[in-house]
Amino acid sequence: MRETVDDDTESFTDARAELQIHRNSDPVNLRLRLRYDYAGTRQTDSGADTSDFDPADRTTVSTEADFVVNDRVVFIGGIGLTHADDTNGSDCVRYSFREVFNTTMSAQALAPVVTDEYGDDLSFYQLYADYNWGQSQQESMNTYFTEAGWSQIDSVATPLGTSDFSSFLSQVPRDEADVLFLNHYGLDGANSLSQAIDRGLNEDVEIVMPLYNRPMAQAASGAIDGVFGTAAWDSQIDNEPSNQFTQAFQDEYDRIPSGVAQLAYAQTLQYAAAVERAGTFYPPEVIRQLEDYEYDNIGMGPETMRACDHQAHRAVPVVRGLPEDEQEQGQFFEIVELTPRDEIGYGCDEGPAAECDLGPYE
Amino acid sequence: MFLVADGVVLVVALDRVITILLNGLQQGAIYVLVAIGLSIILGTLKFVNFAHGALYLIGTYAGLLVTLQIQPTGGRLADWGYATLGLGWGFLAALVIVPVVVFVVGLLMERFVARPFYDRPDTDQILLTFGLAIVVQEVFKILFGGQSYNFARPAWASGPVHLPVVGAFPEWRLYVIGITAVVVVLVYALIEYTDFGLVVRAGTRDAEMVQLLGIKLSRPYLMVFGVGAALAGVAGVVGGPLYAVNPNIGTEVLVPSFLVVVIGGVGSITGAVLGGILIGETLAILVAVAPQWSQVGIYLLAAIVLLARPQGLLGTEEVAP
Amino acid sequence: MVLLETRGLTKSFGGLVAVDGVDLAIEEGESISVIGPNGAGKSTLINLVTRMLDPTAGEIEFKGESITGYEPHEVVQKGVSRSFQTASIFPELSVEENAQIASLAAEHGSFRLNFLRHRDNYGEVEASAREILDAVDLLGQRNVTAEDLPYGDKRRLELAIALASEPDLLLMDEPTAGMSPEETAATVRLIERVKEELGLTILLVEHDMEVVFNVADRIVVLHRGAVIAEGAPEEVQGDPEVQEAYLGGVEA
Repeated sequence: MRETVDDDTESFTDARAELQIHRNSDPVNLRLRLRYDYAGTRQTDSGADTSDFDPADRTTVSTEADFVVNDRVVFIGGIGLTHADDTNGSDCVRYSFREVFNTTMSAQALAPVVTDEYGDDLSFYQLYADYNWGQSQQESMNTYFTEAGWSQIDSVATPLGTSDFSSFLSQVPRDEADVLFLNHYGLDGANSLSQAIDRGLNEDVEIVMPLYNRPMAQAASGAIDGVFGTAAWDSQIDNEPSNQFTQAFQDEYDRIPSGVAQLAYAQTLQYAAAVERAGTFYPPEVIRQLEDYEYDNIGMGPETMRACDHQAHRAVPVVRGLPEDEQEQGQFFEIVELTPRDEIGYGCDEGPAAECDLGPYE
Repeated sequence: MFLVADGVVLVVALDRVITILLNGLQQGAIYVLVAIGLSIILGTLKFVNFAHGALYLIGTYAGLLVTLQIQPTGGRLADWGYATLGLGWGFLAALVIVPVVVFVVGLLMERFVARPFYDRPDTDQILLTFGLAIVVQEVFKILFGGQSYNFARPAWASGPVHLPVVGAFPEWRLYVIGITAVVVVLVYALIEYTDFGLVVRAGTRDAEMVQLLGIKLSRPYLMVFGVGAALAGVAGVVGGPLYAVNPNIGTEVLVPSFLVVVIGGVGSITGAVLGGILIGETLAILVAVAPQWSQVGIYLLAAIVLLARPQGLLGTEEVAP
Repeated sequence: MVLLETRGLTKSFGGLVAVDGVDLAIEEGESISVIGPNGAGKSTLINLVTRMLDPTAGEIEFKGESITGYEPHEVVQKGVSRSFQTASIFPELSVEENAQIASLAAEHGSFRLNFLRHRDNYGEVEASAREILDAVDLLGQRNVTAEDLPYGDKRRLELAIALASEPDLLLMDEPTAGMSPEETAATVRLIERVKEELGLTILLVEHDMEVVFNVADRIVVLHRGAVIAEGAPEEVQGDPEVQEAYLGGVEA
């Protein structure tokens, strides 16, 4: 069970780094270190600066399910931006938890904001990266924007390994389509978005980049200007835990943390806290502590780590790219809305969750 | 009415066809530039240079640094306190300076990497140059970080240009086609009409005999390597703004460029041009008719050409086993 | 004046002595033919003179100067040229380009880089290439791609290439191998003519005795790498040792 993780290698690399720490370090020390890191009160030598990881780094790694099942390791960290619905739907496993939202939730958060901005009864065209995540995202966009009254003209797969999307972009019916969804992530997303702007598609259609991260915004630079999307977290989210994390991270690394960095730290801390509550590292006990746990301490409002599918139900930041002259180091988006969790999501018997069978604890 | 309707259909089809052909040309252009260097080095020096993509990489970063000023956010250079890097002299300066820089890198590479390995088996050359490619890539990653930089298109060629029939087309890509065409013509003239070119063509066929005639081949070889490298440098500068710049771009451009060489025939400049255009057009046409197959398509094309003509379309000899 | 001299020239490959202490002196203007049965060391001897092989022992002098440490291309520049056993032309190049590349080598000695200069601007190269083609009667076919020439013409082009470097000494390795009797006769006449016109010294390795007797002033007989006889064609023909080793097979 191997898959190419191209959508989110950034977070996946984080995940590996994190697991490495988890498996090789003394857990108590790790927990302490992370806790201190988070509070920003102590220097550390172990904190991998997650913002260094590069979305271009296409790597093939074992899926977390494989890893988790074989090694009996609780996996809550870096799955983070594996944003595909299947991860906590048909592919869900007992030993894996996901903090970040999925493509369904991105679509649910984007649809009201984007339709409000651009109007009703529009038609849209999609390009998507041809693998699990891209398929999942284009499907979610189609579902929720059609529900909002828009209609899809076509949705076209771009094979993995494509870095020049110009031919695909030339196929976009610019007279017919009002909106173009680019379901590409990381370097692919930076390339497809820049190439779309270079082709002047933004003169005729509105472009939406449903999932952003910082390195891709940085690489796409001015091309993100005015382009809507969702992001895992952004330092501009103004609340106590977010500001505290941004400050601590800046004190340590001299730069503003990326959304993915925040995810990695937050989730590791969730694990540490669960171990503490369980009073043991024994995975089935830790898992029980994580399931249906309610928390409100990572900057995304009140959250539940749902027991039925191990998917966190939490707010989704809808962002819009800033013009190039307003972009700064670590600041590329304006937060349009932090869509609260009760406006998105689905029940345990609905959507992806309906297909989830977590399996046994031991 | 009927005729008019028919006419409209025809016009629609024509503009699509022209757009696809233009897309194919610009996609193939960068591969052509990289492949010519690969092909003449392989054909003349019988040296398999997997590090040719690294020269493209060097060209792109050098182009970025001559053209713009960047703020490195990762990597050692940032750690060492270089908040801003680059000359910011603009694109035309890069187009002149970078090929010269990469030419010199090519000379050094010939002298210290390739030359000691000319008499070694292909497998040794591949191991050596593949290793070198990884080393160069990692050095760039260490210095500039793994993240992607935006190599902004020059302001005078940014965004779309509105062409008749085709409609909006990225202006920069027209320059890519144009610059590639000019460079190809220059290289062709160099090989076809100068004494250097004559020696290279003769040496490609039978190096030992050229030496017996009284020509010392080490200098033409050095020049072939330098010229091939400079072409990769031009490709790096011209292709840089097409994609986000990161340390992996060298490896990414290498594989399609090798396919171009295989399709066009080793040692043939016309072959490299033909191969590049074929690959570009195959990609563009497949994107229009069967998008999922576009990546696989170019490998299929290479396989078909190899089955029908093992020496490539315009190659004269089969690549030695 | 002695043009080429070898002293004690020896080449062994492992245990096999291919050339065994050969002392050879070729006078300027002379035509010498080296004969001997297969494996006598004729080709090895030529490869030693052109510096394609390093001698195990011995000394080679050309124009009174040692060339034992020279590179092959330096030997050519000194004035030793070689026409090969196998067809040695550049098949994809035109007849004229074939001659030009050879002239280029001769005109410029060590190759210079003249990137921006069209090679036709080298008047001398152009002129000498044409002159040589004229000498071998190929001027009319100068724009033909070499591989399209008939066999005999290819051999003549080969000779032209060897002559283009304006050698003082021309080494010819079986120049008429594979030719029809007519082509052979034409080639012999051609060799005679260029020798006359260019004042060449010729070292010929040849199996065809008719060619040997027509061209050579002097014959050197090699057997198992060593010189066993040397002299005018008539003398050598009558030498019993030669007959034993080489011609002997015919008369016995």
